Amino acid sequence: MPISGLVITFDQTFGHPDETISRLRGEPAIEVGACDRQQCAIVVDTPSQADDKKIYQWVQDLPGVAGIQVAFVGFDDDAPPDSSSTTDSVD
Amino acid sequence: MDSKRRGFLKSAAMAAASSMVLGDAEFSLPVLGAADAPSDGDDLTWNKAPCRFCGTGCHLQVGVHEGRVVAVAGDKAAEVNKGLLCVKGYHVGGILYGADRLTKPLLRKDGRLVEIEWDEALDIVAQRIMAAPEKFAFYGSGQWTIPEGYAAQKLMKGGLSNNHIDPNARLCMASAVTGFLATYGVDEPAGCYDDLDACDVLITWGNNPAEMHPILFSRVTDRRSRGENVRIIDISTRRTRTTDAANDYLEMAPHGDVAIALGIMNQLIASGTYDKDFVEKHCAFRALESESPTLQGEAISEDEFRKRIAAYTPERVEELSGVPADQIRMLGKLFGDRNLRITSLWCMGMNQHTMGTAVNSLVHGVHLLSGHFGRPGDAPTSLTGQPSACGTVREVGTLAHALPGGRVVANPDHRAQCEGFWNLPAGRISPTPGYHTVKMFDQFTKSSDEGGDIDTLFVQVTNPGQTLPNLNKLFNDKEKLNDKFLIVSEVYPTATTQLADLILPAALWVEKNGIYGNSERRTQQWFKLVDPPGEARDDTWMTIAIAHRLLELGHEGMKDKDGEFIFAVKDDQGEDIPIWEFEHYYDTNVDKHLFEEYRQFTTMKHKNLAPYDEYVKARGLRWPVVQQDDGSWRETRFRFAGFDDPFVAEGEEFDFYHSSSGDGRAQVWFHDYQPPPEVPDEEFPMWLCTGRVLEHWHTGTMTRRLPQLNRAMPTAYVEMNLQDALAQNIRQGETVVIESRRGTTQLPVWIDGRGRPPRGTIFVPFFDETKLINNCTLDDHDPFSKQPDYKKCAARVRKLSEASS
Ligand code: SF4
Repeated sequence: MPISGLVITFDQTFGHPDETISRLRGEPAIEVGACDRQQCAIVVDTPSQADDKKIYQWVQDLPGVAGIQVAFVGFDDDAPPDSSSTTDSVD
Repeated sequence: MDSKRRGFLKSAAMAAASSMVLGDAEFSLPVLGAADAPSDGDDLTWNKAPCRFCGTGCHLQVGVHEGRVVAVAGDKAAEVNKGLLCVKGYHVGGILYGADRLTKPLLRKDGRLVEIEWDEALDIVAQRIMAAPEKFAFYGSGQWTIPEGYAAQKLMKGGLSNNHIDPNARLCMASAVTGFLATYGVDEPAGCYDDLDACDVLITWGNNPAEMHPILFSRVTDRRSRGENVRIIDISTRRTRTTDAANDYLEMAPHGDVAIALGIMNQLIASGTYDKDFVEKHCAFRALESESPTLQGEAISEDEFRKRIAAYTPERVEELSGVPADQIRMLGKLFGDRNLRITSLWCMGMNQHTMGTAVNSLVHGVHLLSGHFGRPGDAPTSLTGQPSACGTVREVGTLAHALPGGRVVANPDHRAQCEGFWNLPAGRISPTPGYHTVKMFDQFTKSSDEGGDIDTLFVQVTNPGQTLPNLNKLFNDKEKLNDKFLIVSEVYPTATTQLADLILPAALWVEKNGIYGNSERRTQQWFKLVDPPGEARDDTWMTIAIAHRLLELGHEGMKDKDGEFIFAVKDDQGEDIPIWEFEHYYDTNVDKHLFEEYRQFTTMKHKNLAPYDEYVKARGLRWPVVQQDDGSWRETRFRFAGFDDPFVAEGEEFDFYHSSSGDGRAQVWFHDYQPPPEVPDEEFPMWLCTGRVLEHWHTGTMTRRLPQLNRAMPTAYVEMNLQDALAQNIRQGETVVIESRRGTTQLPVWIDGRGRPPRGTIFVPFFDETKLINNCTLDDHDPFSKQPDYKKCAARVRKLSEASS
């Protein structure tokens, strides 16, 4: 699974980013980094693509979250699928 | 993934995200500051590189662990993207690691590809060229690095005296080039991305930057989220993600952009709100000659211009474009307001157009006539799709008619200058332009008996088997012609390699040194960071190695006038470094040698470049880059404007110093509206438009190998209007047949999807090689730029059951 570094942007009219940040801290797949009243840096590390999606959605739905930007993606070791072209190589 | 690497990646991810939150945090190399670095992390190294994909030219930090790219972060020190990347950029590292990388030269024997050694491959190529040098053509792209394109250009024009070299940028931004040349006498935008930070109004002309140039678009939407007022006006033939962010959506008929630009100029003249002072001091008027029209056209008086533009009233423009007359008046008023700053953006919509040169010139004309030019935020700006369409194609001049640094083969002085820089005997460079892309492939796929006089074609860094229009005519016919020989340098199997006779495995992105030039005149350098797999090798090396084989075979063109190899690089003792042998290619920095040689060409058109080492230090520099009294090098943000351009004399406000009228003036063009060459009729009742999607870059050969992107957008589709679908009883997701007079393809239907075409229009992205929409597109092209129109032709949609019955 890719490890992602994300930046959460809080809605400027939202008065309680601290509560949202506490909820982020309570989620084991998330590590919380530098935060201020406008933005918060997190790292998401999950065992599967499905879990990753769930976490992303969960963060997006938290109160006061206006947007999420990706700052970093580490690559997994999964071999990507081939495309449909072939070279029908003969060894 | 082992826990050690996971630890590195988590630390790096946190550093990257945190540095974006702490706006003042340093994000220098290496990305992990001493305090952040895990104690056992000293074998993870970071270096800068531009993104491999689009012409935006975002900078990345690339993390390498044990010879493998393991992480990518946006480069916070880069002005272009300020630490951000789009979804493609974040996954760019994975393009190196598709399971089916090409790692050995492959030769087609009896219809099957067999592995051969590089030595044999080079011999085959050199012998094919030697047998008939004039029948050889070289096809590249704006993905060529500057040194790659420069080496190809020198081999062809300086070595073989053969001008049959063209890039796939011909299919992508050639009309932008001719638009700039016709207007300013010199190519490439005057403004830069800083305009996006300063404009009050952003007009997107047939352009969807929210998906195609998302980082640039986010510069504008971020300003809005900070409370700034930026009005976005989207002029398009279908609703897109850009429309979702726009304040105004003006839906135009295909080719309507020409009429709209004329309508705005009509309003500026009719209401007297054009910028009289700017026009009087800095502009002249121009139109096509009535007989044998040329790119330069002929001068017309302001009165004549007024007379002609008077015909394009808002009502007439409404008839031609479908945009209500009131909206044309609204645009006229906006441009008439000098208190606003207005930036126009365009890309393929205006370039892939049979009136591409005309509409480019007209939109420049709107900005010039209204004086919305040359102040930050006031700019007509064309974007490019490829990472070095500007740097390699437009500046190095890898086009069939061009020479480096804005020169053309038809000009004897320009040829003599190039022969001088290359130390070639006089007369070596041919004065006759070579074949442009469409003609080149037409000649290659036509049998020799019928006059098809290109018999060997070398393709580097592009995929014409998927991107050419009207593929059945321009590409697929090659299969039947045994005397034609297609050589393809590639990283993965593609639609083009399927017909290749010889495939050369290529190094990709940070597997080699490189230099790109992005859409805002920014030249960007990077170093090789990892080894290519197997026997994959650099494209520049291939070109030089082929040239050396030709030298060995006795081709006189491979020598300069002193008898030296044209690509000779000497060591400190004056001995040749054998860079044509791959094991010695990195004994020296070949990119640096070629770049320093190329740099001499750049001053004639005031596109001055700094020495190579300056680019090593920078996250790119925008030309012209000139040396200051203190020895430092200064880039230029706004060309032709006295406050920033070093080539405008002190005290002058503006100077269009390459003016085609020779008096420092830019040209405001008049062009009459012409209808598209093919319009829907009873048999083919729909407009077909083609284009791109956020997740995939061009033909998808790289992005379709990234699981994350492929999962997000696994297949091409046809966007249909709900009413059209209902009228034909077509359901969401149903596979249909798209047919034009030229070919067919099958696609699933997406109704009211990401893009929402109006009734009578369908849209198909071209990234999917299993669903080739270019079987259907039209090869009609602009008369000056020779760029085909992929945005409009007549097509029909049939249910599978009907098509097979
Ligand atoms: S694809 Fe373009 S916008 Fe996206 S990261 Fe790369 S250069 Fe930037």
